Amino acid sequence: MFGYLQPLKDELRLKDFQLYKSVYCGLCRHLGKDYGILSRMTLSYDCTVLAMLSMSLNHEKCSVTKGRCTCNPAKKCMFCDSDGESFALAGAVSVIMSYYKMKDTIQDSGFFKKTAAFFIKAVLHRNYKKAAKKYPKIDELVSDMMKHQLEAEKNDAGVDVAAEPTAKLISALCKEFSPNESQTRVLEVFGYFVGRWIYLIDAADDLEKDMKHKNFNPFSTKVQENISDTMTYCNEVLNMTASQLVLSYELLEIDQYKEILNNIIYAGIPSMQKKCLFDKYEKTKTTDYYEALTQKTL
Amino acid sequence: MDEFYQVKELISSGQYEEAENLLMSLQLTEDQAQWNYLMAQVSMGKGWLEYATQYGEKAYQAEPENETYKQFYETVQKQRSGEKKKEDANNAAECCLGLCECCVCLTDCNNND
Repeated sequence: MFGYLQPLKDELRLKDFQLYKSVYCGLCRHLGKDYGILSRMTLSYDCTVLAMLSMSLNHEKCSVTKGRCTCNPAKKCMFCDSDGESFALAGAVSVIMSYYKMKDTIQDSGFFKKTAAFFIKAVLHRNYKKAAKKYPKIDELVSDMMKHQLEAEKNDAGVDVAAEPTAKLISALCKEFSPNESQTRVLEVFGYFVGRWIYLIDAADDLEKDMKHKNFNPFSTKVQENISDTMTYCNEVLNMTASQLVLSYELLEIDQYKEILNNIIYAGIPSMQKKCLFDKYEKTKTTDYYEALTQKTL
Repeated sequence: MDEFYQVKELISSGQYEEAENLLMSLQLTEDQAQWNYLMAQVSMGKGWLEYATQYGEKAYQAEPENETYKQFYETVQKQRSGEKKKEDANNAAECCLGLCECCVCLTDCNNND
């Protein structure tokens, strides 16, 4: 469920894109420093957004240093660091969530995936322990979410109920870095709809796969004969979630990174919906077309 | 006295669970349109947008001439189709600035009665 919150690069100014990348690399470096080199593989776009939002709302000063990328020493990177808690918090969220995700994968996957997840989980175990000790609240929140998610899936929950655990989790996480009480209320609502959107786009993205493997999916009862009709319905659900998300986003007192965050909300979200719901199927259509064409010439 | 008076109070103070429980006990009301509309507001407040859509639709179908229900229905349809996201947001942000109940914006701002 990671990686859906992204900026739309094409519409971002170059300097903002570089700034975004420096936060991404900064988080990567921070993970390495706090939890060791292997924790870097938990790095995600979503946690980058989390760090950026937290830095912006808390008016943290950001300093950028140049250096070499650890994963690819030939590459030079800019690393952003802040004088506040944002990176530490986003890093802990990243490690803890990845650990639980692996735990979940072990429970309900095929043999190969299970084995892989088992090793990753073992590697992450020490990092997880460290993060959970530093942020017991986050550990508790994620573990609760997993429990509620399992329950919802067992009861074959509909869209609203199935999305609730993730929505509540992101809502609670956003509250953790709130700068003041009036923003807490806004962040609570904003986080709820961000979580809901992430969960639902992931579900819509996986719908075909889940139907094939007979796994739980909140949209499975809404499936229609025509895939594009089904996806239109998913798109409506996501659109409404996104417009609620925007309502609360407008009330956040965003200071730095405004251009990037605006881009993610107003351009990144719609383009990700288009990519996951429609473009994917368009592509299969064209291959069919070419297949048909070659058959015809034969 | 309006039988839904207390429900409305609870909704405007953000106590959605309580409002829902109370509404459930009033299920057999004559005014099904209003009941559905209030259920839509409660669902909206809880963030359960699919339920909100369904209840809102029922309220509008029961009383299509009611301006409040109609407006709610149309706003929801507009949001689902994905048009004019930003403009709506500006309006909503303006009318409840300082109240911070942004999740009930959509319902409260339309509810001028």
